[in-house]
Amino acid sequence: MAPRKPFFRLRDVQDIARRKDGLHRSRTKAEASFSTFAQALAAARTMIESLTERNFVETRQPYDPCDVYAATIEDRGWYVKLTLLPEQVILISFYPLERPIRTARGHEVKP
Amino acid sequence: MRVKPKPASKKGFRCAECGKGIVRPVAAAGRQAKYRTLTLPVPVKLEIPTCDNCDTEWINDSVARKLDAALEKEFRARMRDLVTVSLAHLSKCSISKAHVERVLGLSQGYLSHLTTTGDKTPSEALALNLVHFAQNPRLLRRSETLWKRLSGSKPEPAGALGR
Repeated sequence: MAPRKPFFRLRDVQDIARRKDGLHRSRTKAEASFSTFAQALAAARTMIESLTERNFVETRQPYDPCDVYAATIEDRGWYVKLTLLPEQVILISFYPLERPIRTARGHEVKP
Repeated sequence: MRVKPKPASKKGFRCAECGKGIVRPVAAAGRQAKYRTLTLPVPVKLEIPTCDNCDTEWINDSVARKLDAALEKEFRARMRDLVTVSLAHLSKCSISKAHVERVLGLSQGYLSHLTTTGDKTPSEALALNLVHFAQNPRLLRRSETLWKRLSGSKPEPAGALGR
């Protein structure tokens, strides 16, 4: 059986996130881990840029569809959840993993 | 206190946090944001995309730039005031800026520059050191002793901790 694919094409997500004002993330979540908001957005962009389909976990649909990814950055696993609007990437979650998570291709990403 | 938000008439998007509200730029009083080590007031006129249902605020590049600039200005003023007050207190104890600069390994004139021109932000580490010295000037003497213990051919870092 072929592995599940992201609902949103990753290349579209990365192209839009690169644009000025193309990326949104919640203020409270941004300020929790970074000294400035510019740093929080820069870190989010770097992470989105590094994603590949190997990092894809699943698509969830609490309201609008959103794709979940798990990625290892500097030996630490991160949980990423995002959705795509016509001209904006909305980064819903971006935080260190609390427990191991398995990607759609079967790779385990550890905290 | 949140007072009468003024939504701007710009096209919004559905909030990804609650899935119910619409996110539009809002200017409001009473907002606060964490910046470095402080929680500071957000300028009333600064518009932040905000959900009209759950109040989640969403940051993009333009908002981040304005917010960081406004908060940096306030942060700098507060750190500078803290440094100024601490130095004034030390001055009353006959401890000069030059003396403090020597103990902290700062360039001569740096503290004067910090307190007279507004172009640099004192770090939290520096402000904290000055506050501690002002609260207990003996710490300044102890710091000098520590540097002496770390000098010479056989430094004693453990001894410097006073254990």
